[in-house]
Amino acid sequence: MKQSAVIAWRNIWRNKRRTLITGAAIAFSSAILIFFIGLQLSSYSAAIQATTSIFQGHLQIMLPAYNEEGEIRDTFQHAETLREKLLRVDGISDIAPRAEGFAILSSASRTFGAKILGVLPEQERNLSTIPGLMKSGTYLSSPTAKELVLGKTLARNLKVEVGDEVTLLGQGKDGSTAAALLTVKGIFESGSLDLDRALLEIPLGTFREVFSLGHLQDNEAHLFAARVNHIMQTEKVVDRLNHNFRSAEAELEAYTWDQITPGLKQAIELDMASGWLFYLSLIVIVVFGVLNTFLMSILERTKEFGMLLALGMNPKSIVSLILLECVLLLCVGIIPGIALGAGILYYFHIYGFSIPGTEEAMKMWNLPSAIHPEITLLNLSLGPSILFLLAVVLIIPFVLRIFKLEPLEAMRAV
Amino acid sequence: MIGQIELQDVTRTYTQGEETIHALHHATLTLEPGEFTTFYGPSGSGKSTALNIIGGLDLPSSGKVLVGDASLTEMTRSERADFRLHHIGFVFQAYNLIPVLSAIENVEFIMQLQGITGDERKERAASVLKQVGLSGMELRRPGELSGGQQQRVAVARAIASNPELVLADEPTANLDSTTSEALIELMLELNETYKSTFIFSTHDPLVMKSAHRLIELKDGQIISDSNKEVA
Ligand SMILES: Nc1ncnc2c1ncn2[C@@H]1O[C@H](COP(=O)(O)OP(=O)(O)OP(=O)(O)O)[C@@H](O)[C@H]1O
Ligand SMILES: [Mg+2]
Repeated sequence: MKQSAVIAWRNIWRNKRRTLITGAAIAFSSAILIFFIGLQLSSYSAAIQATTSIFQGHLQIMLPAYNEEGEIRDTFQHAETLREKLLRVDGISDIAPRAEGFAILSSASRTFGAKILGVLPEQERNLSTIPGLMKSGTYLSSPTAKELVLGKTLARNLKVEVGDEVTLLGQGKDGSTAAALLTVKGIFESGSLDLDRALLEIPLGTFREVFSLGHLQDNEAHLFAARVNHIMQTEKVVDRLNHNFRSAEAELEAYTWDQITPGLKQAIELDMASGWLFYLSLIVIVVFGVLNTFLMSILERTKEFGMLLALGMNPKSIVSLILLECVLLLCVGIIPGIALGAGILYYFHIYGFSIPGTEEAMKMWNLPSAIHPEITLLNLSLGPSILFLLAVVLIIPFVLRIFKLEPLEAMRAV
Repeated sequence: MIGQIELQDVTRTYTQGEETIHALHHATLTLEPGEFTTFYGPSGSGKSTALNIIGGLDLPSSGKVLVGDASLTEMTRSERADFRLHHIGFVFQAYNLIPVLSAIENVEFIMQLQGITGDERKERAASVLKQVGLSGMELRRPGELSGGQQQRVAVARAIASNPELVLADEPTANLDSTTSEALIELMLELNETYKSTFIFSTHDPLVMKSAHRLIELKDGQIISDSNKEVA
């Protein structure tokens, strides 16, 4: 087999210029594929990162009953001590307790329903981008202040400005009426229509008091929202939490962002599907180029194959020799292509790649304006492997014709 | 030893449109082991057809071909390929060599297919190249050799594993007369040394003169055989 490898390698260099041109086409297209796929997969995770950063976090921890029913009574206690323990779990970078409820909001002139979120302002800053997305006014100041922040659409619907008062009317955990008069501290614009229309945040202490979430020292909450060090690790961390952490004191269960917001992933993926059309076209064009070069090199050697068959060489050996040549030719392009692609990815990994024209919009939503693509095995291998496999698969039927070749006829071929 | 080669009433026809061409017409012939035979005749007389049928590259339309104990006409395609590889050395008119391999690699390549391994193969290849007068040119590729030298490499390859039969179809067709005669001389020498049966064909009267046994073909028929009278 060593001999075959030597022959195959020399054969592909018989026509140096043709091989170099074909190799360069494979190399450049591989590099382009690596760059765009790297960018795509990274912006895909950046999009998830961005979406989860606004509000929901990478994972949430709550009672299974609360996950199913969302009833205000399904709280857990000792949120503060639990948080301390959870922060020590490997992979978790930030975590904050929240309480949730619904209420009727009334301003001087209007009445609307909204989701009320009780948060600890300081802890929330590390977890959610909303504190940084204030359009007017400022974010919540203390855990017990009688104030609120709300989305801009909700504020417009209620016709309130910073400094106005809003009456909140709902039902407490114990069934009592929950009522409060709170001052608008700030109005945020998150870029998410849903959040801007229906979210209102108040300090967690105030929430507990208004919605009768037990005694203050019980530290009750409905859920923890958490961020992990890297979004790719979310599932691993959730598994870890569900296996190791699930303490007897509180039967909490962890859920990934995907489980909390089903459909988000598909929505983002669908958004990116159009890119694949471009990649596939590129691959098909290059593969046809390779096919052309390769078929030419097979055809012009018909006489030689005839001679080898006449001498008694097994057609199988000739077929495997040609396939080996095909693989080598592809490698001649793909290997430098991967190196080049990795170089380009590395450059943008360091310096960032921003899609022209999107910087403003990204800044508005408090998101990083440049994508820093990761250099992963998947990013580097996905495009080139598809190219490689497609080329080999398409070449095989032509190569198999060797089996039908008659030595005498082949030797007579022009 | 391969033993006798026998053509028994061999006919090979080609149909082209309405016309039927008898490339070989009721040819019956016996060649003794170790014999050096020349097929001579004008273009289209059936020399290549005869050699191809003897070499198992082509099958007769009717008749029988025996090479030693082997009946080529009863073998499968791949059995014939295997038979060629292990029992017959071929020298063709052109395109004999693998262009990307050096002279010695070309000789070794076929020996490797024949299953000859390691040092023995190297030594054999070097010594046959020496025998055909190509010492010092072992590492040249076909493109770096003259036509005559290339044919010598082909002869070296054909003889390298000492086959029972060597077939050379117009090996001198692309060579000038001096080079042609030298090549035939070489084959005669190798025939002496190796005792293989040699068959070659030519339409060149000059080359024909050095033949031991001369078989003359015309229109697919044997019209003379120096070993016996043909009716
Ligand atoms: N594949 C083929 N198809 C049709 N006719 C063929 C074929 N091969 C040979 N023939 C015919 O058979 C006859 C004998 O051909 P062959 O090649 O054996 O002659 P040859 O003596 O070798 O001639 P040359 O000296 O030109 O090589 C010729 O008339 C030729 O045209
Ligand atoms: Mg001929």
